[in-house]
Amino acid sequence: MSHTNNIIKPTPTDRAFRYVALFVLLVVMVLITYPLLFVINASFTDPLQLYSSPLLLYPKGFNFGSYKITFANSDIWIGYRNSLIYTLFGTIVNIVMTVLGAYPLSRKDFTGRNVLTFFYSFTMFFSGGLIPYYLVVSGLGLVDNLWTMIIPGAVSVYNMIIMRTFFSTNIPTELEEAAKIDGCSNGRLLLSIVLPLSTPILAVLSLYYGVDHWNGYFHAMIFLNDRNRYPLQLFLREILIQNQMNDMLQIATDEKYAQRMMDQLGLKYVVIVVSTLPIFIIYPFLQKFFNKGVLIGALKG
Amino acid sequence: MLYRYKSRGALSQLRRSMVRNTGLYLMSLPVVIYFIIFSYLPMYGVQIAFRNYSLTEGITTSPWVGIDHLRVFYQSYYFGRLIKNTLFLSVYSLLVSIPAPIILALMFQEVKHKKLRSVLQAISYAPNFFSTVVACGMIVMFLAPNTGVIPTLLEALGVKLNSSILTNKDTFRHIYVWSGIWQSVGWSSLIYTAAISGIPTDQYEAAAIEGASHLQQIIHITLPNLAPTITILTILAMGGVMSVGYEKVYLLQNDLNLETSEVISTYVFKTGLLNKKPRYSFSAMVGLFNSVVNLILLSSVNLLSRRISETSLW
Amino acid sequence: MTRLLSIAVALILALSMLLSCAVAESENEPIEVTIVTYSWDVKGSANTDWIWQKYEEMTGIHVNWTEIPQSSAEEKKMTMFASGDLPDAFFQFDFSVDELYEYGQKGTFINLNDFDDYTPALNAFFESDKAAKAACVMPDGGIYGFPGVSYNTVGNSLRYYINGEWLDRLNLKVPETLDELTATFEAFKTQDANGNGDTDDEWPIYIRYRSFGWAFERAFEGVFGLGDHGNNQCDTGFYLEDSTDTIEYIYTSEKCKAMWQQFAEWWAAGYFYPETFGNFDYASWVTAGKVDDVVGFFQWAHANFLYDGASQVYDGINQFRGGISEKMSYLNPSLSTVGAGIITNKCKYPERMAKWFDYFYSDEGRIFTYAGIEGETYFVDDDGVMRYTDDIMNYDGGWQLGSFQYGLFTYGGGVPSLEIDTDAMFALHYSSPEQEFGTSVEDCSQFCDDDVWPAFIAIGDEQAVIDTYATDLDNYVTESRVKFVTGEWNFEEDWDAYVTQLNSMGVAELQAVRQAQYDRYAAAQQ
Repeated sequence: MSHTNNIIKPTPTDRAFRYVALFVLLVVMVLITYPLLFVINASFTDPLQLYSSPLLLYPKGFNFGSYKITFANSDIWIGYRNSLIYTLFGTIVNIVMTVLGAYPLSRKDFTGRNVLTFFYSFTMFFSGGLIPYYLVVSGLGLVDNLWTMIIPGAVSVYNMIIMRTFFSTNIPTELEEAAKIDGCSNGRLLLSIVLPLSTPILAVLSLYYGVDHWNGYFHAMIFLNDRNRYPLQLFLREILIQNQMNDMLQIATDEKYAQRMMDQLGLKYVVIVVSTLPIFIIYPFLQKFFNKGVLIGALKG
Repeated sequence: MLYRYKSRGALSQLRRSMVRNTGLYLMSLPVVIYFIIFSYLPMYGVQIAFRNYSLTEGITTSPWVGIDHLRVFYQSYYFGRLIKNTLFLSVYSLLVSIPAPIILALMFQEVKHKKLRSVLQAISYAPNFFSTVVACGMIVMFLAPNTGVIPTLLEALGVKLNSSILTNKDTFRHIYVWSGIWQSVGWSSLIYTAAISGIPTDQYEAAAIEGASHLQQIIHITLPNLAPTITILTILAMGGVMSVGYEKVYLLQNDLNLETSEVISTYVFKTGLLNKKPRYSFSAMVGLFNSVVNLILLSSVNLLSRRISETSLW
Repeated sequence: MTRLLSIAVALILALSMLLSCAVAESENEPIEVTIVTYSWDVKGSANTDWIWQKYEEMTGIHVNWTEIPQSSAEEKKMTMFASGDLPDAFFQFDFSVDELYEYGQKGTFINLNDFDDYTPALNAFFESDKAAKAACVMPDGGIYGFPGVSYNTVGNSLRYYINGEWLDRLNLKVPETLDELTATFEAFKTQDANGNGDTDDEWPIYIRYRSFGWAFERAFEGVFGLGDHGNNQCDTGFYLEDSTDTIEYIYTSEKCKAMWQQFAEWWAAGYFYPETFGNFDYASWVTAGKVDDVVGFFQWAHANFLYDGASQVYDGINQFRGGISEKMSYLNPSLSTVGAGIITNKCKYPERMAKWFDYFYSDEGRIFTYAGIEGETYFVDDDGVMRYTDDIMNYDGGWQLGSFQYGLFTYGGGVPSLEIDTDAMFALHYSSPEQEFGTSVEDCSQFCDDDVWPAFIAIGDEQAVIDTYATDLDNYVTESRVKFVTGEWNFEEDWDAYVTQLNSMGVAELQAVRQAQYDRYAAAQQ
């Protein structure tokens, strides 16, 4: 989105600024891209070669071994399917709840909003721990079913506050007042004016929430027993079972141990590629929403 | 007397507001119920910090020990150092991680080609998805003496390293903080990208007509528009100062950098390892201690912010 | 009269036979139980394991296995207890002795003493090994778990491995004393031991990341008189000083000073891989061993941990002579796990369950759990030796995983069972300790103390004392050790200050607890 400098030609300082910015960006991108390439290359490389050629600008001794091990596990596909469902429905619920919580807080004429914000924020600091939480969730019958992946964790205070901040800075108060004078109810106001103006933040928070669902495993680990309901991350964690050095004395008397440990090292990288690819692909689609808010803003202007 | 008057005033104001904005209260209702059920209802579990919790006795009947666990914690020989290291690490992190994503978001705005920009942004946030184990594995690999990329590059540039970068207690914090930036900067910048997109373009047009340069537009329009977001995120970050996660620190830790790398969470983790029985209550007490400090810090910064900038959480 | 008597006897006999039939029938009446165990990534579900299907046919007990990944065991444990949703039993699921004692005392785990009519094999085992029994009897007299026992000392210990090819190339023999070891390091360091033309790329000592204190040093504690009573003793940080018969702190002792001086000497001579105290992962170790051939000396349970096939190259050394003592200190007791099998108070058939576990300690049951069934998992060769079938031996991941695919008790450790004789165990997979560990049981036994301690139990306030002091002491030792070894601190100037510092951090308090624990143990041994 250009800050429309069509009217006035960029000054030399502007141009210098832009070149410096682009140069710095280039450097930053190189620094970020190299490790990224490393991960992708490493996922195709025999783990033993990893140490003899640390720079790894291209896969060494092209090796699908780690991918084979990963996809030989048919559970992976069950995991993909489940994660997709949890992410989709979970994110929808998240966004609805977050909007419901955030919008009133953004309204200056909403008495009690400070108390309510504190009421919400307090939960970021104090929690009863796993056991009471487990008892509450299981008391609601939310163990081992789809809803346990959606309802607990339906809203994050952090994201709610971010959304509130967006509403209160980017939605002009005059707009709201004008709408109210026109007899527009709060619900209508939210749906027909506030939300259309807020697509950028809705897009970002959908991404944030979506990724939390996609990458989350803790909740599933505690509340799901049925393997058919496991999300992808739980299966991936099983593949990557962490070895406890202290306990392996008896396990280690195993002639193929070294090979399996090395396979695991290769798997670490495959797991990242396999689980990150969907998140990576979705971004350009979300990117569209980043501009809508501006369009409407421009229309209003 | 005055207080009663005030509170009655607040009450009647609330009543009036409730009549006027019934919709808003109804909207909040599901969220409030959600937090009551999933956060406040289980909160009675906080008391295990003051008990000797055991799995067989349960939360409300385990023996009461008062603040014994807190005493054990602060009487630790290392208590001072743990607090210092934890604060140092998180404050250093904050100082870098607050401005970095803003700068990155602003730089992305300079890429005019939309497709290119979106690809670059996607790349920039990818490291956020590397698990801690993999990220730390890469850090160790890149910094390994003789074989690592970074020592090799530094040597090529004529920098002489007399000890390994990782086993140096002075470099630990830099490695921790900057690798954290590498992982999170792209992801965090998305909020600012969204906030920038939300700025109505008419503001820029008006400025342009008045002859404001591009740089001036950033300083006088973009940044002021971002200010509330920056403030709020800073306040929220203050609420996490004591909570430096254990996993990454532990993975980058070694016997030689303990002096700077031992933080509260790794210490608690180690007392757990050393024990044959999980120390539920002790961990809960340390967690509670951290939370109280975090809440105090957040509240103070919030108060300060309300005084000077009118932006605040509550 | 006699006729009447004989009729009566016959009647009674018939009746008792009828009764015993009825009893026998009810004994094998099909029931269902739930047992929690770990899930393994190297094997399918226990619900489909060959061994459990066979065992169900034998006992009539159908087990619904609930399998929990080790990584989430702690959380699952918490939720199981909190919600009261306990299984009938736990199998090969890690509860520490302290946990076992606590939950047993509270009645959550049943006391096997109450069911000893149903555990004849376990009773016989306890008769045969008093020390093992002493380890299983908790301070309140209860026995709350079925133990995991293996008399394979070679497998219960960690040993040193030295590069045999390098020794051959340099015309050296396997070092037996500390002095010979130092001389060997010197030869490795200064000569071209790996024969690649470069005399500088050999690392005499290349040990695993983060293993210096609890593995490398621990093994040498046996040479310096600090680890006569095995791994659990070393783990406490205290040792039994023979001259005074008291429990003393390892890290403030003159013996420890002597040990660290030895390490410091080796460090100064450049024998250690420079990143010994740094962070490096397993792959770098394997690369160093397999690809680069730069590893002269390391230690672990099995040489193949360095890389597949390393046991062909590396010779095992159990312990060095010529020190203050000659004991293997990284040695676990034959009874490695006290609570390998546990029955909970939720179990409706504790008698049946106790019998179910007890079978694993009987002669027949031991063969069944380690070798399986003749004709299915093993056969007896012409010399009368049991051998695994080709199916197991040719399994992709080796015999151990091969036998584990059937559910045999050969993997993971801590199984509620009494492992079959070591010779028979090795013969099953056509092997021997020499082949696999580069050492013999006889050689290993020379270095084993008769009194290898179990993990001690904390009672009363002892746990609180340990909690208060142990972590800080441990941290201070960890930080100081590296300074002494790498020469940042020197023994003349800094040792006294170091000892003073430790003493001010609660050594005496901890010592009192360890002494009391030892006294209880010694009393129970009587």
